[in-house]
Amino acid sequence: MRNAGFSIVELLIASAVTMAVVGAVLAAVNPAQLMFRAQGDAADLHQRLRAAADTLSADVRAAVAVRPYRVGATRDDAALGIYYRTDTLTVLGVPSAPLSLDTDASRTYYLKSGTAPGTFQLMQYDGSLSDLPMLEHVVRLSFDYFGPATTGGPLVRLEPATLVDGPWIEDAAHRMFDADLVRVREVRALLRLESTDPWLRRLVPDTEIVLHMAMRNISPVR
Amino acid sequence: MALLTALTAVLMMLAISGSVALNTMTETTIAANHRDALQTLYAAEAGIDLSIMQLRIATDWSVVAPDPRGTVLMQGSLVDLLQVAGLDPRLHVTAWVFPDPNGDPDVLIVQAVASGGGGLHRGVQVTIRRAPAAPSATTRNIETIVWRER
Repeated sequence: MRNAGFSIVELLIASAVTMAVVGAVLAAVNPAQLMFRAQGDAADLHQRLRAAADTLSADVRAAVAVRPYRVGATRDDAALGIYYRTDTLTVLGVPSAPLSLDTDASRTYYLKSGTAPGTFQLMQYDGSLSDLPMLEHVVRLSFDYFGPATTGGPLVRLEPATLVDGPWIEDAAHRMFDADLVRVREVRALLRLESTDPWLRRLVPDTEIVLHMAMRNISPVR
Repeated sequence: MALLTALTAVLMMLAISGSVALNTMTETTIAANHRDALQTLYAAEAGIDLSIMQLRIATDWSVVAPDPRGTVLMQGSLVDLLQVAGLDPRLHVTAWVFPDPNGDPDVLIVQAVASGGGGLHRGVQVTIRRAPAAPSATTRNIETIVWRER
């Protein structure tokens, strides 16, 4: 009597079928896993954009003046003769904390090279000793300034050259600044962020927002 | 074996799709809350602007704001106050006026608090000053001295 069992051919065929099924399952699960990771990364990117938009716009709304360069006790740009940087904004006369009643704080937002090459951090400097990163993986940040034309009418973009050519006036803290900065009524910020994971950048493309922020404390007479 | 593999695959896909659905719902909720918070802030600002429009036609500001603890100037849904359709009906605005603590009759503090969807509250407070009356002008310009979020 012949013993019951599988021949080597049957075993080989069964193994091949099993491997094919497992391979097909893994092929279906792997992209799903990647999409799952990408979704979390996209949500993180949107959250970083919201945080930046909220922080920047709240400060510009409350500011009594803006400067397109770093102002403060350390590495003050004006002390170095620098009066314009595309990626730097200082808001003056803002509350030291959200909903605080004082209005004598200043904050500078600027781009700093990150730890990885080609990446940048959005930094927040409080005008004194605190200089901390606010956002990672920033690709681009730029600020534009808008104010009434010298002849009046709607707001126009103030060219960078007009913000550094004088005449110069002195503020309450005895710092000199270009008089054209008094005309600034609105700041436009362009912020572009990238995914935190380089492997996911194919699925989570860079996202860019443009914020138009009106300075409420320099409102025209109604 | 095939059944086991198929079951494992289905369970894995279910777990992943369940997590994706949960993430999507969370993200949608966060985005909606953010939108509502911004809408509520702008509603409070609309309350300030509406108040200033009312104050422009008032000749004597000491009558409008007699109480140092505040006088309600307007209250209601933004749809009714603005008489504009298409706005979020959940937005309600209340505006108060306070006399100047220093006693200047041409200075007022206006505070507007808006409530929106999800129980959100945002407030704006402005200090305004009225320009001196020009001999031939029928209305007086109003200038914002201080604007702050509350």
